[in-house]
Amino acid sequence: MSLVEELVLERPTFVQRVRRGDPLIYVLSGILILIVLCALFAPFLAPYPPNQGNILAANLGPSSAHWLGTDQLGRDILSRLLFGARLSLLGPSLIIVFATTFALALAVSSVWIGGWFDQAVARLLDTLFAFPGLLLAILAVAMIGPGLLAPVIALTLAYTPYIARVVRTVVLRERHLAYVESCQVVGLSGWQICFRHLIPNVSPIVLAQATIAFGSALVDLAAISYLGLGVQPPQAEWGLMVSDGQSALLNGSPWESLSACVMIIVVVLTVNVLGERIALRNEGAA
Amino acid sequence: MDPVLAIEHLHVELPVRSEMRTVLHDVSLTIGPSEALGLVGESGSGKSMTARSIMRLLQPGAATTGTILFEGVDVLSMHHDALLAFRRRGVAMIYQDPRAHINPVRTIGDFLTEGILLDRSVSAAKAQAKVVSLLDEVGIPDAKRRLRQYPHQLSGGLLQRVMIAAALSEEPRLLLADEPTTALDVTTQEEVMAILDELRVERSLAMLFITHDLDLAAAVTDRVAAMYAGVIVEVGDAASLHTDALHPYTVGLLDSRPEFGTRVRARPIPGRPILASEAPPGCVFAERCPYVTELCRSERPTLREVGGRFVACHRAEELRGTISYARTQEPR
Repeated sequence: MSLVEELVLERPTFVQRVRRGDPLIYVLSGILILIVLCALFAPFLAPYPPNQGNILAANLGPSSAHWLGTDQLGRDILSRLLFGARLSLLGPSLIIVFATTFALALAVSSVWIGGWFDQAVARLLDTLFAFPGLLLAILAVAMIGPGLLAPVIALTLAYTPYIARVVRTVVLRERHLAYVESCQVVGLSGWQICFRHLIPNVSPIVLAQATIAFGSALVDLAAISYLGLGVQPPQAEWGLMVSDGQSALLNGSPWESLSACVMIIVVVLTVNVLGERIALRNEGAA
Repeated sequence: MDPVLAIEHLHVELPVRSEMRTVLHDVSLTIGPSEALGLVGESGSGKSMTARSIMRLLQPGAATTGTILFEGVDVLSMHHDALLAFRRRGVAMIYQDPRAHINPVRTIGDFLTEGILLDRSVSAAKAQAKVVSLLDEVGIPDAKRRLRQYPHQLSGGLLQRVMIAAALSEEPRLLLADEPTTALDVTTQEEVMAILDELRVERSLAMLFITHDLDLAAAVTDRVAAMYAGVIVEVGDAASLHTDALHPYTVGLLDSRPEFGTRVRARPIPGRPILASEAPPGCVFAERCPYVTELCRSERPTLREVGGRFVACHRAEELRGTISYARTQEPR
């Protein structure tokens, strides 16, 4: 085998592929992984328990004892930020995992079955589209009660059509590629073709879409908490911390609201740019 | 002996914008065991539609009447499991464009073993061994390395051989080859055709060979059917159809071939090919036929036996051997 053939024909090794990849994707993924690790290991990283307060040491600015200061109940803001990452990330993750699963199931089945079923699914998604996510969430909270569950259910419903619409277009295009027909000719059943070929082949685009949706789900969920409809005190959550810090903000101590806002912005920006870069990479590959 | 495939009075209509359009009209064909039948015709004449009908791959909403008997069982009325089994083990298909028909992000090995592994009693190692020997048979050396490669790393000719290997992997009884060499260059075409022919004869496989190349059809098939506007106009053994065509359309196809080594121009059939949905009530070829009569325009001829062959032409006997097309332009 000649050198040229070797270079052209052989599958690149893992290291080669990493080197050829988009460096920004690695950097952003690194940031996200770091934040997730912080959330997971919060009990070991946090200098104080999140709910231990000292009313005599309330509304303090940053110091060597409290790096980000304390809130109005004298609780350590850094500790609450670390613990708050758990619920703040868990919520949107659940929403996106469920919404993407439903969206994929709806998109693939409607494209595969076609006809009236496709029409029915399209109308159902249109109907869901008509409801703003926040409104659905408020309705769900009214029915189920405040906490993480109600907003997660409501926002899953709200995000499913958002993801499904894009995924359906992609699946439809993929389904009419000739290789799907040759799978049918080999005698693969519809299930086998969908799970072994269709879904894996559209997964990069679904991933990009889900990543971008994660950012807006996080903001929506934080907004719900901010309104007091989501996670309830004394639990730590970023959206809740933003609203919690409001009175302190007016008293000239911005650290609680500010640090929570910064965390939300960092995560949202990271996933948005990450999603865009993944989408861009898909285009390059297509 | 019973035919492997018997198509009787197949009529297919497809929905095109809320309207049903005929694509095949009263098509009847039989393919005996280990027989190769060529199906020739211009683009849009319904050759591929015939193959797709056999595979039950027509779009949803298609209206099909008639019967397609595979080893005596009607394909059109098969239920889900029977249809899967028929596609899996009864029949295999080779396409014009192998690159489009293989999942681009899966390896050649995945593609080839997928069908074999549908049978759960076959181990992965066994499937791979089988595939390696198949690749060897279709003339792909270094098969183990090829199995790890992706479709984009193989040339068109190699991919078509992979396609042939895939088609043979399930030991089908019938092979549908839809212009398998059209997209290849001439030398590769010849190699691929030789491999296909050899493996087919070796396995005594029945084949429906779809092409627009009459010479190729005559070379590799036993019988040839000529198709025009969704209708079969002539069926006969390959050699005599090639030398002594009965239907004016078949003669026209033969005359349209360029002759090498002479300055004689090819004599194309005047007019343009029509779609099956545009067919007049009379003979489908009436508009372009130089020998058209009133009868041809009013009554559609059916296939009837003339000199051991079948032809759908009212004037077959009287015109036999005399049909020729005027040259549209004198050679320079």
